[in-house]
Amino acid sequence: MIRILLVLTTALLLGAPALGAEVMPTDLSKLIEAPQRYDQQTVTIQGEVIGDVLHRRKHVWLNVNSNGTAMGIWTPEQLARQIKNIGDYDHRGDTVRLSGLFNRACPIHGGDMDIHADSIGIIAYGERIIRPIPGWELLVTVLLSLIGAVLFVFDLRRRRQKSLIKERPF
Amino acid sequence: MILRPAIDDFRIIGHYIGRITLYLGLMMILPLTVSAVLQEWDSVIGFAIGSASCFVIGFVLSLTLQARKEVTWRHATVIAPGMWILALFLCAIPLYLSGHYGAFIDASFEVMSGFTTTGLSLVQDLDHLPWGINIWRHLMMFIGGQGIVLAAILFLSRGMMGAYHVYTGEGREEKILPNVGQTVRFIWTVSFVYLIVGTLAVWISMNWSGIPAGRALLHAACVFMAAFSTGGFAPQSQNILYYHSSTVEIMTIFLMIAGSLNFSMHFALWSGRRNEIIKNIETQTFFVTVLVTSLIAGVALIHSRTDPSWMILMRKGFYHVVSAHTTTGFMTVYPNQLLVDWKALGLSSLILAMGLGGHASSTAGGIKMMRVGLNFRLFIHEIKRLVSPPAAVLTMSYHHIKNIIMEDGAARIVLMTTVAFVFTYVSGAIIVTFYGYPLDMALFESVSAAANSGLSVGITSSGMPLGLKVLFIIQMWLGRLEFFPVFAFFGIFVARVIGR
Repeated sequence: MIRILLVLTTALLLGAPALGAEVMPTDLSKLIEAPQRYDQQTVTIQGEVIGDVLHRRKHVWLNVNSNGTAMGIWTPEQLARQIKNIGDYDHRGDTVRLSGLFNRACPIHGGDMDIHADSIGIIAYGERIIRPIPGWELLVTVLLSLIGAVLFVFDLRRRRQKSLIKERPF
Repeated sequence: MILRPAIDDFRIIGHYIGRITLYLGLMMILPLTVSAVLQEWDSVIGFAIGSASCFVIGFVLSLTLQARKEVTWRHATVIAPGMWILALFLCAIPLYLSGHYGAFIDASFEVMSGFTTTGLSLVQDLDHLPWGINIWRHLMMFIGGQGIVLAAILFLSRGMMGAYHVYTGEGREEKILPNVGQTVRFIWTVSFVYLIVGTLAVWISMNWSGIPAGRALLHAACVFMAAFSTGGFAPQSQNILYYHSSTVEIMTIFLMIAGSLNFSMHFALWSGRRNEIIKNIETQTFFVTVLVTSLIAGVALIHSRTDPSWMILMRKGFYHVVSAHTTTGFMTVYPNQLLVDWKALGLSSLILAMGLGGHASSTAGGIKMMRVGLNFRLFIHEIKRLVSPPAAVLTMSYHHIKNIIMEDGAARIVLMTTVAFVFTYVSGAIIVTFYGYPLDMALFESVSAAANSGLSVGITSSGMPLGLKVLFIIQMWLGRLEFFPVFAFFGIFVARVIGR
């Protein structure tokens, strides 16, 4: 019995850090809500790469958006090479899962809140977003343009008539 | 006795609102072109509907409402706020059709925030917004900063009798040059020169920061328009933090300050009178208040962090004080960080900076440096008067472009406007607390809206209650037009009912 208890206690003690790592958030909003709690800890984040990859010598800045909150990720250039799609108007960016050190106020980046990532993996590749145009919008465009054109011609004629009256007072 | 306005008065107001609406339709052609070039076809359709709506309504108003009268002061004070209300609906059409706004009122909120150069935003999924829509958001700031009506005067001035009255109806008091047409042209010349030089400078720094040249140009145009108009929108959800660049931050500091300067000061500097920047009451006041608020922010940051470096104090502390003081609203921290890291002392420094605002006759909002400086001088003057012999004759003078003697009437207007601003800040904060927010957050957001700043501690979002959206729209409108034109707008309808 004592032996079983000892084994269980040892397993719990050894497993605690691993358990702690598991509960690290994968949502950026949690980091922003309680930055002091996660400051200088290794975190794992999952999100979409958006905007631009900003190259700075041997490192790059990635901007990763997770559930509407985006954060800068500082990482070696070779880790970012696997990223093929970046999210913008007509692209869904690659979804990445990355781990790294979370800085509440990064001392080497002017106090920015960021993550210095040392591992990045692609969870899902991005794709082109197709945005269909509703038929009613096309119809409204044509109708309004026609009405606008008719009114423009009417306004133009009225102005010409006015200027003619001014030129010939009698 | 209240004079009852005639039907002809309403006709002339409607006619000119119609003419200016045509100008809004023309404005939308620029973002439409950007969308077409970048093949954002759903946005092209949105802008086509928005622009055509402006033309139809503009022509209908100007053709059906004709009057044989000239624009007077009375009409002008109603044309400007009336125009802003119509713009709130028409300019929101392309935004709403983009699908990035939860409701039409969210899109209207964005329009009011843009035209008033506030910068509070209810956009959803900003990181996937079409560039055409982004250009439109920032263009609204650029146009709104100089004045929608002011812009219309430039292009439609041949048909605008009484242009000076309309010009003053949009919260501007000073004629820099003897003729209002020349003044308007000067303001736009300054703005366009800054647009070209500023965009180029920001473009180089963004390209240097790693953004490809083509995209950097779009980013630079947007950031310039938001900075110089002291607006605060940005093309990405992280605002200026997105660029991770001290160079971009330094550039935007210069542009924010340039945008918050009085156009009379720009004219003096362009005319070679560099001494004006030292002697002018506004720049003197600005220097002192920036120094004081920066010190408070610095102390707050030192208290909240274990080891804040000078770099952090400058890039976070000073940057946000300048952003708040010029009422721009650019951020390099997350809204929640203001609560967590800046705490009550830091928040109060930003609230104070936002509330005081930039220079008069600039794109900035808030009480304005001219009034702050004059209030301080009036206070000192009153103390001097109390300790002087009864027979002593004391005059108060100040320097703004020239030496001016302060008269009682002018002093009364300065005090009244200051009280109106403070009342709007405080009453707005009280209303926000009704929705369950703590007083510090409520005051911060209320001052930000009414001073047209745009910094946020997180209350402003698409999920906020409808009542708060309406409240902030009204606060932004009141703050930008500086109260009296808005009251005159409602007053003319009341006068029609009860007047004789």
